[in-house]
Amino acid sequence: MEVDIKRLERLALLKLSDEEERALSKDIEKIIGFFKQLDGIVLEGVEPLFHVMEKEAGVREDSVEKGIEKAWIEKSAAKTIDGYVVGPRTITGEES
Amino acid sequence: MSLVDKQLRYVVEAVRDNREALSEYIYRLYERIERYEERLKGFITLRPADTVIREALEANRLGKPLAGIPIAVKDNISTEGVRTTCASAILENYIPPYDATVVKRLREAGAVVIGKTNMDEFAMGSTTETSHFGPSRNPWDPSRVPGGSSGGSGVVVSAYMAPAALGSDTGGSVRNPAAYTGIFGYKPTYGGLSRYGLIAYASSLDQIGLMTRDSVDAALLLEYIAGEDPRDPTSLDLRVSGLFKEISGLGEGRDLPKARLVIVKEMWSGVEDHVFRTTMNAVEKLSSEGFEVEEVSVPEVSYALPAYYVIAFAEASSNLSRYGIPLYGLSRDPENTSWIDYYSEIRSKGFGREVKRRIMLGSFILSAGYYEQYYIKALKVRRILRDRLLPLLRRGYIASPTMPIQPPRLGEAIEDPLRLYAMDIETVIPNLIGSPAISLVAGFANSLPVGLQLIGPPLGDRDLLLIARTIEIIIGLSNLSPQMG
Repeated sequence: MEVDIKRLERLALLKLSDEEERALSKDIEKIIGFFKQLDGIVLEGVEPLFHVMEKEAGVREDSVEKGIEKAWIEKSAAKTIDGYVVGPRTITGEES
Repeated sequence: MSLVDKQLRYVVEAVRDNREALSEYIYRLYERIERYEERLKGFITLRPADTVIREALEANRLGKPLAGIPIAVKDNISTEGVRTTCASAILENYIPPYDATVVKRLREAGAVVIGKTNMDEFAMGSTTETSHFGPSRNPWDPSRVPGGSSGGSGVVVSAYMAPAALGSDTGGSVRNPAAYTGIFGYKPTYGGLSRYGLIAYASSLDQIGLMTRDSVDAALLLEYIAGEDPRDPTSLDLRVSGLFKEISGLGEGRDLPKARLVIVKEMWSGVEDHVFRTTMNAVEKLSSEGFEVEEVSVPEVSYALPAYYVIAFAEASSNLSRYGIPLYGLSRDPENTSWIDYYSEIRSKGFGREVKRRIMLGSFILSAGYYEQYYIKALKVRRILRDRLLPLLRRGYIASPTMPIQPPRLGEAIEDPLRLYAMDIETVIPNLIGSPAISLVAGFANSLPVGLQLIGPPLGDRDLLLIARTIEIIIGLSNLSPQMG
């Protein structure tokens, strides 16, 4: 089967337990089998329809509007320093 | 009949300029909640009665049109200052800093949020069993599911714990629980209600919808919450002003409007026997009352379900990639952790199994090598369906059972994902093509309500609701009371 569960975990940013990996691999294979039903229909010359609304997205007036308060962010974030939200490191490993 | 058992519009009438009647009404609702909520679990968060009464009396005093009426809101629709969890551990303590546009408009019209209703986690499910807070139960038979994903909204309206509720509908999540709990469910045309503040599942399919005791109540609320919203560029003008007056007048001596019902044969195959018979009896009754009925075959409809799930999972995996951010929801001090470890840990802890299943499948579908094979193919099927169905919707309304089976018992459908997904076979079609759709009670089978689904053309919401009202009058099964003991 084409499903590499570890690869999907990486792509979806998940870390599953062994039990979850077993159960989900089985489900995922079954569901992909169901998706293969789509092979049964002739689709030549058909354009994909990404969205039913073919309305152009506009740009709003460039004016100042009330947004989310900084106080809320400070209250809500796991950790802030001087009003900045602390995030995990994006670069790890040996310094070069 | 006490006021609690009446449709929302009669309650509004009765409590307007009568604050004593309003507090009395709200007390009665809380009495019901106290009596049934433990068994049915309609709410994730119930606001304290005194807060709700205070806000309601204030709205009433100011003479606002909805006069302080309490409304329940599905827990994926943002409410300022009121916890909004999406029934997920990852948002268990999330308190939004703003109201969704629909909530803001309801509040401005004088409605009050009574509580946040239970649902499948991130609206991913058809039974309300994937909720992190435990399943809701069907008021008609508590051993059965109330449907989903807006199951809690169905429960509270059906059991008279709130006169109306907001739900959301990505592939049937308003209509499915409406059918299973015996109420009216309405999913507007895509864009008909602003999605600003609706926590996204699959953005090209998501729509907020109304769950009420009948179509007239839905029309009343719709007039207050519809309308374009600069914060949602996909929002549209449904042109529903004056609809409430028009729909309320139906059946008062004048001839009811009639329409043509289109029966797409493929939507009736694979439907459980008594569901088929109950719904077909309703169609026959309508035919004898002057509705035209036309049968057609659209073989491509059989591809709607896999196409829907491919598109929904792909969009979900993208939308849910935001969770784990150390800004809100489940998080911890991110220092000294690598980016990948941090996110993977929070997300693995915070998401339930169905959500994991869907975002992994979505990642798979969008990954190199499979994108063309699944995602693009599904989008092509979507175009074919739209091209085949829109001409039919110019001739009449597509009628089908809302659900192919009666509500399963708890635990019966949830273990097998394909069986769970198959429950949505009728309801995903309008979402794929952007059409409005409703579910109303067609009749009963095995003492449980059975829903009839009616699909209209995009932007045909006004006429769809008028026809729904006509059908309600002819069939005579709205504002039902489950026997709950």
